Amino acid sequence: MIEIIKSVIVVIFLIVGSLFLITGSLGIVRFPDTYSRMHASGKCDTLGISLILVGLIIYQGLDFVTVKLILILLFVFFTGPVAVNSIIRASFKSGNKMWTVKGWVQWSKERIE
Amino acid sequence: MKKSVFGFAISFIVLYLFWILNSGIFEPFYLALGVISTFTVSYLFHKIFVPIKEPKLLLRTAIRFLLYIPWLVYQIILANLDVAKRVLHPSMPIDPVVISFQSNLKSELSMTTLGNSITLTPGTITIDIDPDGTFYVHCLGREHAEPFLEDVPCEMASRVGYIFGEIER
Amino acid sequence: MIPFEIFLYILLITTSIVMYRIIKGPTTFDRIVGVNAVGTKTILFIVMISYVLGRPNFLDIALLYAILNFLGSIVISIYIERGGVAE
Repeated sequence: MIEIIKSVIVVIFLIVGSLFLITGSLGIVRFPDTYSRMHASGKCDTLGISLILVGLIIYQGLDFVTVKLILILLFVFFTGPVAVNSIIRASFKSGNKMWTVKGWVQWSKERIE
Repeated sequence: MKKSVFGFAISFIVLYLFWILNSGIFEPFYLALGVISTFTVSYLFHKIFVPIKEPKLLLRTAIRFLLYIPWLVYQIILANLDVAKRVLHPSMPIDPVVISFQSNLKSELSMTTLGNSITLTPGTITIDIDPDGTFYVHCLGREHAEPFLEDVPCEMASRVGYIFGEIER
Repeated sequence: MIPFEIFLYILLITTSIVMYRIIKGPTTFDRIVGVNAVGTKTILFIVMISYVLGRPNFLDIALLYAILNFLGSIVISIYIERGGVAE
């Protein structure tokens, strides 16, 4: 009985995580410019991977394998935002244009509201 | 105990735990190999690995950081629901804007933490950080920009500053 | 027993959605974002394969791939920022 409940919880975690991953991918395709695409990539991927790995950790129980899963989880959780930051800063500094409601704008540090 | 010795000891213990958990073999040969490589790595890199040298300060920062994580996870879930709503909405209601604000943080560690937290919370991404603590943030909608412009320092900056003992609450 | 194969197919679908952005562009940075997203999905793919085949050793490869993916994004963006390759 406990096995069945555990499996159901694990499957729920995996499915919700996959839904977030699909949403993030759709966001990367649908959003109009690089900066808003990065919102989809940075947030949805981090939460999707975390949820799926948490599901697998519950499935595995306490083990040496769990430790490796936790390490992957921590690593993705802490480095995902850093990678997104570095990409967006490179994009900002090399003058990639940004989409706003009024049209395409090139931002610089002096022109910020 | 001297400061550098403390940093070395902490990094040695953490890295050796990492070695044992990753190998999972308890034969003397592999344990000795772990000691040698861990010693080398922590001797070379303990200054980067442990940025806070005071034992009491390190403990206090660790406890406050652990207490900060549940709030951060809650914010991440809110952020994802928000982005998912905007992606799946047929007309894509986004209104991007770039803002800058002063965070009153001083050390690089706290600014990195705040930058990562901003990236993970609803509708905002850190673009750049100036050395004096000015943050440049890209917001997906105008309502996401308001919490950062209301007061100096904003709520998240004061939370992060409280972790590292730079801003009192 | 959970059918992990299904999640392999889901990950393949998400990867192919992102592939559209990598091929279409239009700027270099869109492609880098796409490659980064595909890399994160590859980590999960390797983890799932380790469960499908029942071989936990694959998790080490997943951890290594996480490190490589992170370093790759950082290095490419720093190269573009300082080398002036941007469009």
